[in-house]
Amino acid sequence: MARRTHRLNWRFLLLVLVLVVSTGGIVARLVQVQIIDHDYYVAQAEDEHLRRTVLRAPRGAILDRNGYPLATTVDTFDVYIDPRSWRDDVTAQRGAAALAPLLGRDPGELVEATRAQEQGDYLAARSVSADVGIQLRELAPAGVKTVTINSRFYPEGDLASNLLGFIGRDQVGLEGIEAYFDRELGGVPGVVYFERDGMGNPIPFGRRIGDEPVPGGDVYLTIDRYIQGLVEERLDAAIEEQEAVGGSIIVMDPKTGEILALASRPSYLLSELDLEDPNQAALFRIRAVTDTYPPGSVMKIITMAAAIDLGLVTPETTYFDSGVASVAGGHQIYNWDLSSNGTTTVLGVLQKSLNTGAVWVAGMLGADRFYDYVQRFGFGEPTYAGLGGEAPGLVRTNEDDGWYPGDLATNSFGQGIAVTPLQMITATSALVNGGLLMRPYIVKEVAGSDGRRVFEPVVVRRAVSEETSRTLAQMMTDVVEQEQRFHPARVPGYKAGGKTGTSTFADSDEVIASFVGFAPAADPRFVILVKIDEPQGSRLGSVVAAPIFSELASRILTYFGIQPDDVARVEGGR
Amino acid sequence: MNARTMRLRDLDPILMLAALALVTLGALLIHSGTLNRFGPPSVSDFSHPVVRQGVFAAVGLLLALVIARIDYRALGFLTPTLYVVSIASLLFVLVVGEETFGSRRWILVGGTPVQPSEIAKLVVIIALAKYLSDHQESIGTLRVFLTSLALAAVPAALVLVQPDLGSTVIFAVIWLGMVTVAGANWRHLLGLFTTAVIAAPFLFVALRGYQRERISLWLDPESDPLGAGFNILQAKISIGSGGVFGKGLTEGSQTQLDYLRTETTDYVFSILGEELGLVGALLLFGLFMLLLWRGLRVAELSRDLFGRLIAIGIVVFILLQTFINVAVNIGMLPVTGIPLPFVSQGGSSLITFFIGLGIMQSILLRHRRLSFRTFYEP
Repeated sequence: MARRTHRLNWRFLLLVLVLVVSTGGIVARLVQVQIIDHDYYVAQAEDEHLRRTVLRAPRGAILDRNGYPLATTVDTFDVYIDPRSWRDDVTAQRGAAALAPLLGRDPGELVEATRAQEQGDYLAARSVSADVGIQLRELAPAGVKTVTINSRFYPEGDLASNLLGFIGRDQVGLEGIEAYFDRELGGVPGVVYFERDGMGNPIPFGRRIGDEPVPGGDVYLTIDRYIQGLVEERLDAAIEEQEAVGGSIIVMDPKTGEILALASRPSYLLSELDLEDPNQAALFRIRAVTDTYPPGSVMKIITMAAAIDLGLVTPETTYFDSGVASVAGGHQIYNWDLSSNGTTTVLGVLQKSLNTGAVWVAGMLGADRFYDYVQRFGFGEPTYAGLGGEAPGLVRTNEDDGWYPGDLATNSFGQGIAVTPLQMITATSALVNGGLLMRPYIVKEVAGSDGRRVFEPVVVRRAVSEETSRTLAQMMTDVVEQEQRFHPARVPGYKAGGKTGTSTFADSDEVIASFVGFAPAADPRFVILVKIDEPQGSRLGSVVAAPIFSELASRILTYFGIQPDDVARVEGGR
Repeated sequence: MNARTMRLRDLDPILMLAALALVTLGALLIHSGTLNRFGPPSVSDFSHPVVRQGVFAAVGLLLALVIARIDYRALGFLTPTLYVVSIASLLFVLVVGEETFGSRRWILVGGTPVQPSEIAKLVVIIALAKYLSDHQESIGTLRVFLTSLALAAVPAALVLVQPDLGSTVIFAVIWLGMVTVAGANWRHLLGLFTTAVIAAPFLFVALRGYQRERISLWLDPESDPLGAGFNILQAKISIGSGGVFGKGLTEGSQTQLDYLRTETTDYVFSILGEELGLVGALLLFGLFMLLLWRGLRVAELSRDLFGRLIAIGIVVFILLQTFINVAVNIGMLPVTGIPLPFVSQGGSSLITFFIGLGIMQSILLRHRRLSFRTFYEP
């Protein structure tokens, strides 16, 4: 018995030894991990908890000149479901029952689709409205996550779609104002380091360090919502009536160069935008600034302005119109109606839109002076209005290769020269505002968090003298208001000025019918350019484009609250 | 049993207090680890893990006191029944058990998950104690050696199928500790050891894929830091970032941000390491040392070999679970689902250990009937 006890005690000690050694081993290991390698593990923990994230700055709004929003940012929600938490039937059915009606989906199908997701979360719905998102957050079905994203919302619907443009999924402007003023609208993204949990979700009330994002500024356009609406409606109607392929209408304040409305077709509607449809890509550009056309007879006002500015002619100067003009190179130029009008004044050249008269005046000017004036009016260079993709137009002068002396004659009545509608209306504005070529602009003001930046009118150069401007404005008024015959551009109750244009491309039978006009004649508040491409009903600018000017001008004058020049004419109709 | 010989002052309050201190420490850690999901505990909320743990501890303590009153020697007569029931329940769990994390270890008893392998460990301790004390004189024979091995091997094999490699190891080591103390022949032990070393490579091949993976992950957790190695790394990061004094209870970023999985059960030590630091760990070890010392004292004072072996078995059981659990947490052993005695969240484990303590108290209450003078005779 004694022996056994002794042996037991000895074996006992062995057990105590095991206990001491194992405890010692563990303590040694703890000392290593918690003291020696402590800093390493602290760094590891920090590394995991702190995550760097770029915070998207809220995008600014695009507003019209009076502060009506055209594009704003609203919170919408992407809805995700974690398939792992929906593996359980009860959770899945409960979740689907709550979620499905809000997303307009079938609960069974939703569960199936979620479970089919092999990796990551299932995206159940993209960009659901704030209403639905808030309801979802309140219901908080198990496994359902809502992620706030910013979406563009267009309070005026498809108004000015082409002009406003759109943004991509990454919130970067891709087209239109959204793209050209992306820096102003986009703001500065912030960087934040935040603590996160094992799933990578930020912890409420956790530590956050970094720079907050600077929200994007609000961009106020020079566009007037009402006028833009009128213009688009009228343009679409005209294109349909005339079975035209497209067109552009621009309304500008001639004194400042502010673009009050700008629409061009063909274009797209924001509500029907489909970035995956390659056919839509061609619709994105703003054709009123990117595409050029031969201005046709509208160009005659520039030709006349040059000659009058140089004192070569006055509106009363006469020439003999034989109905044909011979020019260098042996070409013969006829009037559009093949008429011959005998002794005709310079004013008559505009009123009757005689090509022979323009050729006669251009002959007096000579190529150097003619092209000098063409360039003074801004043709051949972009206007820098702030819209992307602006075409400089095509003006081949006598100093360029490939210029023929005959070009001077054809250019004088707007053929063989290519301009953008924006260039044409800007030049016309210079003619009626006292002779100053203004830089057209589309953004009036950017109101950012760092203050307001107001864009002031910019004078590019003096194109013609004030005197010449007055004379030309009067001549253009006389074109519309001439007593001999009715002009379709007339505005009931007001005096307006303008000039028609009908031009052709060299290689096509189709025409471009245009009209550029202004009102009121005495103190022009706006210039309107109407251009209809390839009308099928009539081929004449006076028939196709001038009535559109009349109608738009009438409504804009009323909208501006401008007193009629002649009350009797308003009452008596046209 | 003569009431006069059973003196209540023979109860060891230190043993109970050490255990209750561990339970309290555990409850604090469970509170911290479940704060995110359950919020602070309220007494009436029985689904709250801290409250549940408290209820289990109370039940366990009550059971311990009841069992202390029962003569442990009565367990000797019950041993065959207990053993058969345990084996049956282990078989039962394989058939109808609840599967969690890919293994069947639980059965639901009245809606409460029960892990039969926990109780089975205690039963095996009793069975081994009974068998070895009954064959005290022939302990050196191979027959007794192998029969005792078989007693432990049957439940060990059954939990291995669950699969629960950790519990298998515990059955094996409990047996080893008990036969060693009981006086097994060194040559038998050496022979078994040699066999085990030779068999080890074959066993590794026979291991299930996940078990082999766990061993290679233990050797190199960085090989899959976001997948299977995640917990090993996160536990180490938790403990390492805790430092000497820890980040403070409920202040551990790893714990509070749910970087740890099964943090209040298998990884409760990581919470301790992170939030209470090395100081907290030493406190925990101190409490365990106290508990185990008092356990060895029971073995020493026991009136017979049966009681002594039971006490030894329970001491080895607690020591081993503690060692494995902590070693897993600090990356010294491959991952096994072994709870930290008295500390980890879980009713089966807690109640099992309290029953163990109850048996120890029962041994203490009755140790004076035997003249222990013979025990200390030179």
